[in-house]
Amino acid sequence: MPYSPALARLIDELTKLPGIGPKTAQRLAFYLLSRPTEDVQSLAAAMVTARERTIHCRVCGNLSEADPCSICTGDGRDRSVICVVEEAKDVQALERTREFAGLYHVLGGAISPLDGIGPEDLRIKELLRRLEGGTVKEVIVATDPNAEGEVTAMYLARALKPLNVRVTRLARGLPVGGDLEYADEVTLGKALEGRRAL
Amino acid sequence: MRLKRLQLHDFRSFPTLDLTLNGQVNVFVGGNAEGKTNALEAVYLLATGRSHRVAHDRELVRWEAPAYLVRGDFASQAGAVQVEVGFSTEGRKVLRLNGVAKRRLSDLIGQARVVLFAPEDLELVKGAPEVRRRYIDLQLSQMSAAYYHHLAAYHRVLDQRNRLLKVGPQAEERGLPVWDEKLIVHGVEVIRRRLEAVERLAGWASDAQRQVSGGQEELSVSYQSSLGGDGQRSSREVPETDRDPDNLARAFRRRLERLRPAEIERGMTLAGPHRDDLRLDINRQEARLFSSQGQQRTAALALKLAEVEFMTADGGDPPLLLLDDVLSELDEKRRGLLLETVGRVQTIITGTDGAPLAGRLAVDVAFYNVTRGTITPAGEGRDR
Ligand SMILES: [Zn+2]
Repeated sequence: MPYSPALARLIDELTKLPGIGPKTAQRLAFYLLSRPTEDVQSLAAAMVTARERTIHCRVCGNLSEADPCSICTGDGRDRSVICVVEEAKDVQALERTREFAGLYHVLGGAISPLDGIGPEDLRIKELLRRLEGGTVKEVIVATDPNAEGEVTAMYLARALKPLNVRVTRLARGLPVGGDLEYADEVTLGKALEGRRAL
Repeated sequence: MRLKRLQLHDFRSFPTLDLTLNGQVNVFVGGNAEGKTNALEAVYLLATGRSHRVAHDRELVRWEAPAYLVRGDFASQAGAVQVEVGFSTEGRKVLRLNGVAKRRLSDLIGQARVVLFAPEDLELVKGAPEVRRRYIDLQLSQMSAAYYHHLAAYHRVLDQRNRLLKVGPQAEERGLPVWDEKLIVHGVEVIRRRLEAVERLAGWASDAQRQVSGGQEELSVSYQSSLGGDGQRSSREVPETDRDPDNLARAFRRRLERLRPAEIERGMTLAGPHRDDLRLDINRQEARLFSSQGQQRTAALALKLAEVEFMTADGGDPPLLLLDDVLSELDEKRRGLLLETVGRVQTIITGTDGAPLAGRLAVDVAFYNVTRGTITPAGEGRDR
């Protein structure tokens, strides 16, 4: 027997979410139907509110309800360092470490011709403008360690070269607490390269 | 390295299989389409993470089943190793090493090592360059995680770069120079290791060719790089002695500069390890074009035997040798040489009957009957 139109539509909408296949969508839909109406209303309201209130900070591109965001306006942030990341979720990851007190710049992705993304589709011009004042002394490039992230880092290094700021790449490789003995040769090699000038 | 136990669940024609491999040489005997090659494919899958016959995991799932799992228990130099490869009901690849889930194929590849020799490998000499690249890539990937990493990264960069070239002259300002650099970095690592491997494989392969031909045939194997010369692949080889990464990078960069207009016009990358080849000569003539079918078959066998030697050299964990229906394809002399190697490493042989082996092996041989979805021991013993 086919699903009722309302249920079929719910499954359809859920299937559009990243990483959700038809089977998972079906499971989620049945779960939602098993909950009290108030719970489902609360979930729906949370989704709509978050979508409506969240904007991109006009300075750094981070997701925020205030513009500029609380990091860009925050006291006690080191304004001489900018950490460049691909996505807003990377800002969250770095903030959780509590190790970095500088500013951020969210590119909004990485260079990827297969996805139709070129340098001009990223917030690179905005970054160059932020560096004009001369306050910023160092740019840390923390793009992902895959082909697209690496190429984006190289592109930035070239674009920033004339500006006379220090450009570094975030050291990556070994997970914190990772055991050297079990790290494969590739990971180890990358870790040894460390944080280097680009 | 030895495979002790092989378990299959909804893999190909097998609903469930739990097989203990007893012999140094294990012979799977069965009619065509009974599933003996499927069992071999499962072992290959454990070593390389993919099938040698189909591109998609879904095709490996038994008819009407939702998922498959292949599990192998190996005894290696480093101790016991369990490798699992499968496909989940959610449509995801499953990779596990010693029970721990792994996300990347690079964490798994090479944990088990195999050398596969199937009838299609007899095309190694006259087949397309791609066949010979796969020959070299598969052994190096199993031997070095770094090689596999660079090869996979190279191909990712290549796909990106090819797409970018298709936008035409604007590719330049849309980041082409940085893709070039990335292509060169990974490409050089791939070429460097291939050059070294080919130099070593060449020695073993020409020994084998000499042995089969009674000293009549001199096989030479060299690496043919697309980096040198004026655009024709066959115009020049990178000197085998020059594996210096800086020199290779310089040659690669020069080549890309020269090819720039052609690459933009054709919308594809025209030089790099993805266009390189192995050059095979027998008695100083290019084997692909001028050698007899017999000479070509000997050369294919010689290359496969060299692969076993290469993986075993320098204290490497000996690979499993998988012989898929090839014994019947070889004549007495060639079969004799192959069987000398069989027995030095654990071997799985498939065939429609055990006859080609009769009286040929002086090691533990275990025979198994393969019929629709089952494999059962057919009696074991010492074959004299
Ligand atoms: Zn901000």
